[in-house]
Amino acid sequence: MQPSRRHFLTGVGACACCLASGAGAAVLPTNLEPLIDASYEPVDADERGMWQSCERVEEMIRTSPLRMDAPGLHEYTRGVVERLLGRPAPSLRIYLMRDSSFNAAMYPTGMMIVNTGLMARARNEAQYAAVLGHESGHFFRKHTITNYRSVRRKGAAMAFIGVAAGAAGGGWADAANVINQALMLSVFQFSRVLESEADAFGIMLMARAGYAPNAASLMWEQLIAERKASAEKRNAKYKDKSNSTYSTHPPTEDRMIDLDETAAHLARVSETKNFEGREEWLAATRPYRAMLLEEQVSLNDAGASLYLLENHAQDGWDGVLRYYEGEVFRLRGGEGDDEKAANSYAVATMLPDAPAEAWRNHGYALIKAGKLPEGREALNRYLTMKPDAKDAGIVRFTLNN
Amino acid sequence: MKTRILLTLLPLFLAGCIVPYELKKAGQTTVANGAFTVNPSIAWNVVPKDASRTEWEEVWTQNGPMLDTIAFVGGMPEGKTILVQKKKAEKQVPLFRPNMTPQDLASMVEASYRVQGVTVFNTESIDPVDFLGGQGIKVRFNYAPSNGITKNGSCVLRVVDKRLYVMKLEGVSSHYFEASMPEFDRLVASATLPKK
Repeated sequence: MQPSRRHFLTGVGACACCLASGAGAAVLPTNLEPLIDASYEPVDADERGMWQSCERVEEMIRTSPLRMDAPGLHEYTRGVVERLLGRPAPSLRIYLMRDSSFNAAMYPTGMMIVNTGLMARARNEAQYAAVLGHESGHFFRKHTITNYRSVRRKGAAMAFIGVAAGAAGGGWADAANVINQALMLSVFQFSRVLESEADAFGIMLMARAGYAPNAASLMWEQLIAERKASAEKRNAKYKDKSNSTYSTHPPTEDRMIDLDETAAHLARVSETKNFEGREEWLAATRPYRAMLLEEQVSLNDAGASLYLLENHAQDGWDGVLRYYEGEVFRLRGGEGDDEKAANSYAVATMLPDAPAEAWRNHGYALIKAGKLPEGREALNRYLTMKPDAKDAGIVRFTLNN
Repeated sequence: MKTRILLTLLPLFLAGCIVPYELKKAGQTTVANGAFTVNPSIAWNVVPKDASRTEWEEVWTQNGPMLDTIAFVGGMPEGKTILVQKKKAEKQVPLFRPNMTPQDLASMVEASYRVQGVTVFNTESIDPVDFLGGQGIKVRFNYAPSNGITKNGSCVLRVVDKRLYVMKLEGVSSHYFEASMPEFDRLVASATLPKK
């Protein structure tokens, strides 16, 4: 099936109509149709070339050391996507990648990449589904090839205008610059339109699958709050990198508002279910929870890490969360942070699910504070819990000296 | 004529832009602005300084920095970082503090990779080691950068008179790291502080 220009423009038109509905807020179109089906094959030279490139990328990803070895989570992710699509997706290939940035991607060949940075931030299955639904939107609406053709067409036009203006001489160069600048900006503008369309497609899938549609806007709300918390702790000004004419994505706050409006609209016009899947999400990610938190906390972005931990602790703090809270303070190492870290480790060790590392750090904190017998006791407890720890050598040396 | 002059000057201009590698011959030599002395058994190439390195660091390589490096940090004072970073950067390498525990020092090394986009970082061991005439720590680790070519590292650290001293070997896991390990261990064993 060819990319349907008419379909796309219909979607954009619907979107533009909705923009008039409020003060900057828009209800996204909720009647978008997929442009391809499960058996789709590339039809022309452009697409075949793109598919070949994607296949080379997939080969690299398949053998990458960054690939996460997590069969249970992999099957769970497949289940979420299939629930969104409302059918099995045997040709879909999912790759879970160790990358601490908040991201996921779907290639036109049916390869989906999901970063651990997304898993670390989602609070429930519905939030996870919101991002996977968005990526599915890019796939089913053929955004990669559509955007590629747009860029190529505009690039060719810009080159032609530049050469023609050069040949004509005189004052034509200025006119050519103005036209080319407009064309260049339209490349970014078009990319933002596609992102909005993927948001629309994603929330539509969520509603049909019975997920709480407001999970999409909540995900963005959390992300904005995290970046603001990060900036605040660094005494820096919060800046949305998407809030630029040259951004390929719409401003994050606009996306959040539009998704929120759309979720409310869906609730008004149809009977939406509000499945969040908190328990299901916790069960699926439990084996990897410490690793996911470690990836974020070890970046030493104290504001962002504390926000993340507090967000996960909405249902209560446990030993793992308290241990990582201590890690945030220990790594930041600012005034008073030693005491805060020591306190978090001490609290963590009182909780039943405290990791062995909480005892080690509790021990070192006590030694730093001059409480040697208590510190030694905590370090011994660590070695008892984890006799083959990677750092057992230096811990034993500390105890013996 | 103008073109000829320009073509003649171009190679001179380009040569001026390239900072050459310096050869470090085998035998006792000072490193990191004379902060300490080591005794290499083979010749090494000194990597030209770049903006990412602090004033306390010197880097050597055998086969090019992409494949193997040995970094020396000599006498870095309190409040500084082992990487050059913006004060308000989102991700920060912890500031060095003289009262850092072995675990804090190991975390500092790990953070220097994490802030540069490394997500897969594994500490293999942390052990005591003799370094610069006293007790330091040795951190063995491996990591996978985004290009997927895994590397191994061995980093020796010690705090002397409230200043940080480091030697770190890093190399591509297949061949290069192991090939340089014996020489690195010899260098660590030979490292001495200047007499006061």
